[in-house]
Amino acid sequence: MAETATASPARTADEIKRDPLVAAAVARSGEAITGAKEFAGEITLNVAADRIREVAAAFKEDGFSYLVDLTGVDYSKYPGWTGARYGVAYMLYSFRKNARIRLKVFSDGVVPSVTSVWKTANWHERETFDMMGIRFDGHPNLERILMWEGFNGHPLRKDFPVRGIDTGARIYPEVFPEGGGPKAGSTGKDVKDVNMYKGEWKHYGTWPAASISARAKAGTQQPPAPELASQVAETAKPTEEAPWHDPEMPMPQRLDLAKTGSLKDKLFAAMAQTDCTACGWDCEGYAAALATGESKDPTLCVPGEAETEMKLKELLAAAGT
Amino acid sequence: MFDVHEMEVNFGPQHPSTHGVLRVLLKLDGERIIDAKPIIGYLHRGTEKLFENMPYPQCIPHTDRMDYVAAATNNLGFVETVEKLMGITGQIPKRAQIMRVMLSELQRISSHLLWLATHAIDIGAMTPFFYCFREREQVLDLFETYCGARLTLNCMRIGGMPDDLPPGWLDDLEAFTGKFEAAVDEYESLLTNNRIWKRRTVGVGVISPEEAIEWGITGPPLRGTGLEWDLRRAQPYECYSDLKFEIPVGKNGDTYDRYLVRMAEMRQSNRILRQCIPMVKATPAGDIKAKISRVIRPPEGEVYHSIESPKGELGYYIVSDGKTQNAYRLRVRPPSFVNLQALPVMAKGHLVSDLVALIGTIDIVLGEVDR
Repeated sequence: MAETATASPARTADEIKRDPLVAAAVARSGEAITGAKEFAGEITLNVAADRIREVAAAFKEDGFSYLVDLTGVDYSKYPGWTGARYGVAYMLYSFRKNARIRLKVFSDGVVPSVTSVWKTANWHERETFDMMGIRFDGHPNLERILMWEGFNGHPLRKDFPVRGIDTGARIYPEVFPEGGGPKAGSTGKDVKDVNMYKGEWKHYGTWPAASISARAKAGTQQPPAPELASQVAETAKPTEEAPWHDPEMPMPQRLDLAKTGSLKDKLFAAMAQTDCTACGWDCEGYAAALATGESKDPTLCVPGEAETEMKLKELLAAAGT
Repeated sequence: MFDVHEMEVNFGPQHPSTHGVLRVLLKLDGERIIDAKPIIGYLHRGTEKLFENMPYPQCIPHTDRMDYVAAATNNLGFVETVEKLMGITGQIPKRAQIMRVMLSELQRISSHLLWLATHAIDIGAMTPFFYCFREREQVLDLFETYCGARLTLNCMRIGGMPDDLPPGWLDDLEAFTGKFEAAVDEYESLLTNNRIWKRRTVGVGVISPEEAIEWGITGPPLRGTGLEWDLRRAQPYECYSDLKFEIPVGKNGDTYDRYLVRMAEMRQSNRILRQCIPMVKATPAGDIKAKISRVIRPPEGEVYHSIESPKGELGYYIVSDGKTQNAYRLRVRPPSFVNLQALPVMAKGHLVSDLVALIGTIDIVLGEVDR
């Protein structure tokens, strides 16, 4: 299947809609199909969110009797994303045609349920609601399935910290008692949505990079968090003191800019410059820690990969520490 | 609310025959089940969240821990999906493909053996347990010889396999496949015509093919209804199109037919393994990895790919933004989760003791249900 995808040139949306696999159902759905895409031999049809139920029924009638999977995607951190926040993907399979297609809707939080079309959608929609917070209109029993009743937050949202929220007790002492678990008698309805919380995270999640130096000075350095490595902080911009502080600049050029500086500056220039804080500091903080001997481990820069690690070792060896 | 005879009973979460931590809230009229409501999530570990926060190769050991009695097929589904996303499916060397098939079929045998052992002991037949674990031990030894682990194998890599077969492994496998057929005969002699076994399984948990599709049921429970559908045949992956095997099907869609299907599947897996041995010997030793970049950074796009795991259709859905080495979203479509959803449909009207047979016959692994 994948071979055919790479061999044939990409088809336009209209050509995909005329594909014999989907043409009949697309014709019946008319305007509800808002777009089409093909990748790796798989057809994805975008559907207007409010009409997904009738489109699903049309596809079911056309042979796609088996709803393989239904899941959500939170696009809020997707690079360059401008559309609605959530995508819901429906994987369909036709036994007669032995083929798969995918329907996709985009929405800001409410999608009509397809449980009346496929019974199997019931648990899938419950899971998507539980994990993403997408509500499915017309679902007979939309309650949490993997997390417990009363849990606040939707773990697969992109702004939910990967370390978890420790039942919320530390963040919401007014709602959750110390020691975990929901408040006795809680129905889950009285619990605030964690993603709506506007205050500062007290113990978990991502720290704003600006406060990290202050934190380091106060002696409350955060522990290393490799899962932060893929982010680029807003502070990652060249400044007058540190013109090399630019994630886009290649390393030789950065080192060239810092060659007259102190050991700390040279180490600083060898970092990945993303201020991702995966090592526990921002880039400058980590360089200072290495230069003063506070940290003896030159392997902590995750986004810099082997390049940074080797350069740090080289610089430290040259400085004789 | 309740009729005077009705009562509500919790079955699990701590119960030996729930195969983990499944809780079923039962509404009973005497011993008859009026309604059953599975409650899951006790083993939820946020695997999908973890996947989003680590590079693709690091995800492979985490896939082991979903269906922890069938790690090889979990690995296979994952690496194939990433390969499809990268467009390198056609570059996997033949030797690696055959090795993947061999490990998956061994895994199918070991998973079915564990299922048979626990299913039988749940229903009250003690002996098959010892017989099954005797052979399962040999399969696990084969895994251990190959990759050092017995359950959490981590035995596949994106683009190929981690290591070549160790010397003597194929001889061990040949010896195992030579006597496994007789071992299955032995299990069948204990159960297939056993009057007690038949009374506990025939006609219990009947489901029709239409209803099975409606509920998304796959794997042996679907084939037990008489529908001949197996992803290894319908949408062949790796080298399954070169192999000869049959798809065993049932007729009535009851627990007994699902039992027969799985027994026949073990024989077919053994047959596939026997075909694989000369095939793998004919390929050059050491040719087990495609030449791909060591940094896995797939292009922007989304793919869904699924394989036939011992429990049913195991699918992975990956959304990649093309910028990082992590998946933007990685969804697992676990067969046990979907099959378990039909438990209330199957259980309605049966006795509490039949629920034990039904949980066994769906063959759930809670690690996969909850992820």
